Amino acid sequence: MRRTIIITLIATLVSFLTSLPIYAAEPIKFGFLHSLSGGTGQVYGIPDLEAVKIAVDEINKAGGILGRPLEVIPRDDKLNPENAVREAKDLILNQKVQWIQGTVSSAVALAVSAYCKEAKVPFIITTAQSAAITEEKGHRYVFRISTNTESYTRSVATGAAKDWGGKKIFIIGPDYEYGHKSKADFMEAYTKLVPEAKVIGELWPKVGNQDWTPYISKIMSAGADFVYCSLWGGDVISFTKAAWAFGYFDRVKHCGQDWGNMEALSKMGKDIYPKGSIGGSHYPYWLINNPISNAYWPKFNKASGMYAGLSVTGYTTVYALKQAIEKAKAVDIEKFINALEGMELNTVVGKIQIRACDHQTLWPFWVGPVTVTADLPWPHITNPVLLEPAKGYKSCSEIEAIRTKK
Amino acid sequence: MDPFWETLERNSKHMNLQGIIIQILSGISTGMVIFLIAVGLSLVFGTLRILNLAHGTLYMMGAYLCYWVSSVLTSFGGAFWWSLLLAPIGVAIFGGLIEVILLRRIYDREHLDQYLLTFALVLVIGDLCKLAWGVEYHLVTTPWPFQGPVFVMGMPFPSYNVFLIACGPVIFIGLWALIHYTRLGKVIRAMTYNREMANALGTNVPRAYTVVFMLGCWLAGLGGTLVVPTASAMPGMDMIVLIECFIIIVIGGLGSLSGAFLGSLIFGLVNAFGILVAPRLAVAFAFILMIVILIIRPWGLMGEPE
Repeated sequence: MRRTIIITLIATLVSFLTSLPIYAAEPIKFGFLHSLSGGTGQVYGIPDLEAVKIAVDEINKAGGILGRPLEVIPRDDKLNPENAVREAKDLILNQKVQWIQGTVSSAVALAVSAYCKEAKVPFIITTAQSAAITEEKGHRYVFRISTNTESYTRSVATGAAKDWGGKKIFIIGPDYEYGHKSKADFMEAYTKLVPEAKVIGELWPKVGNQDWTPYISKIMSAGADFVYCSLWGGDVISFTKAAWAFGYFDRVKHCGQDWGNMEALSKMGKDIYPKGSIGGSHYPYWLINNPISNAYWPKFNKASGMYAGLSVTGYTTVYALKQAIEKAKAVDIEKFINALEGMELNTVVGKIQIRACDHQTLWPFWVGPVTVTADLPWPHITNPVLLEPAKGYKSCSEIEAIRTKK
Repeated sequence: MDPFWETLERNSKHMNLQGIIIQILSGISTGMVIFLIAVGLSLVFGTLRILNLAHGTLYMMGAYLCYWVSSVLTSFGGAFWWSLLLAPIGVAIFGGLIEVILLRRIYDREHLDQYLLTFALVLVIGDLCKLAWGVEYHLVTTPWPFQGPVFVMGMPFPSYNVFLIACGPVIFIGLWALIHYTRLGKVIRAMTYNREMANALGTNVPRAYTVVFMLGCWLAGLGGTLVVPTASAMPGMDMIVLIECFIIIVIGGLGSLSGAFLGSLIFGLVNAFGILVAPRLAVAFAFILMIVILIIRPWGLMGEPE
């Protein structure tokens, strides 16, 4: 009896000793706050987390940051602003994270941004796209390492003007703020390139619409030069399906930011897809040739079983923070924020800058016709146009004007 | 000018005859698919006196089963046609189990209890579908020989939708013949008219209830299966359809076969023309029509006042 007690004691002691790395430095913790459940989680949050884990793993294997290991604490925002703020509070107050990154919903991003401003902890958005977050509502503690709605619409407008240049435009988009804002931004950018352009008809279906037949028949008889479509996610898939049966893509020119989206196109396969539509991509790795990208996408594919896409912004963000902390030579929030401002990042999409004036990264957005090739198992964009980053985003003086006007 | 009137004017300027005809066909095809679902709901209500809130969810289950059977049999030719045969039967069997195990116990309870039970089924079956098939969108390709478009006055129209348009009348005539010329039909009519009397005269009411409920589920499953090649199977598709079915049976008359047919046709056409003329009000038009009917003819176009 006594022997077993002693053995148990020794075993406990040994397991304690081995589980506590005595000489290891205290880890640098950061929060990963993203949608991790439901369909949105599947498409955006979970791939982003996989990408973040790869970055953390690589950094820790190479000796961490300033000799300290990195630790990610993932939380589900459940696409709910209140819940997201609660999680952010816990991450900051109890887990003592150095920064929070993630979020796909702009409503969630705005709420977390407001809280982080108060708590004085940096918040880096990797997926949410509403331009307002870094424009009129920007502040010292919010950053975005991703595109925004303006760079989307301006890029699509440039692609459409270059390839087609039509004057009669038909609009279809989801019936909420994003759809209507996309239309306004697109028309503003497009009429600068083709001044006589006019909207000849518009349709605003509800999100998750099932029956697209009457919408498509209406578009096809409208006689537009091309269609600008801001549908996204699952709507892209079901619209394509119904449109294909009409022979729509052989007869109608169709464009929109989400029509080159890997997440949607990889679900469709090579038989039914938005043939010839002009769509966009954040990271068309099949068109990019640089050592970081060449190493990243096969690794991501192997680790997660998914294809590399927008999720790469999570990976980039972890490396951006590493660079900033090393530049500041201290894990000190105010110091590494200063280092982040204006910093140049070496990323999978080349060298890009985090602007000091609005904390928006000048992430490029590729736009081109969707087609099928032997290179990839799913339809994808080819022959893209790439807008100069400075033209894809509002200039610093424009943003200052917006902020002072407010 | 007000943006609404501006849109209206712009939309009416670009109308032409071919466009209108295609729009009519689109509306009819929408209506014929929704008819299959609405008639099942209406039939179950007329006979069992239960408004089955889970009807839309059974339709969704049909859509998922169609995807599943099609992907299992994908190496065989005509996988979709097999799922058209099997998926609705699967839903009917599942519905039969629900009737025997659960619904049978609450026929004499208050309506509120029935709503609670069938609404619970919405959540349970919905989550079971998510567990089994995930939350992604699932696609089924348009089956042979309906892949390409046909041309109507030079305008393309999907041939599969022509097939859908044909399905509606076939099912309508089939159900009509069933109700008027078979023994089961006689039992259904008797039970709809007076349940106690039918029971007293020797009808096996519980068995007939199970059969009718399974028939309703079969129709929901059939609608789900037929809709997948034009759209996709996805979570949430059930509630949209359920609301549309409510509109239709209010317009047509609860429990009326021809009412469901007429209501569906009207619903499809109103929706299609709404999109053609004033897209921002397309959803509202059907509701407005429903409200008007509720005011001037609360028992519906083809229903009978109680």
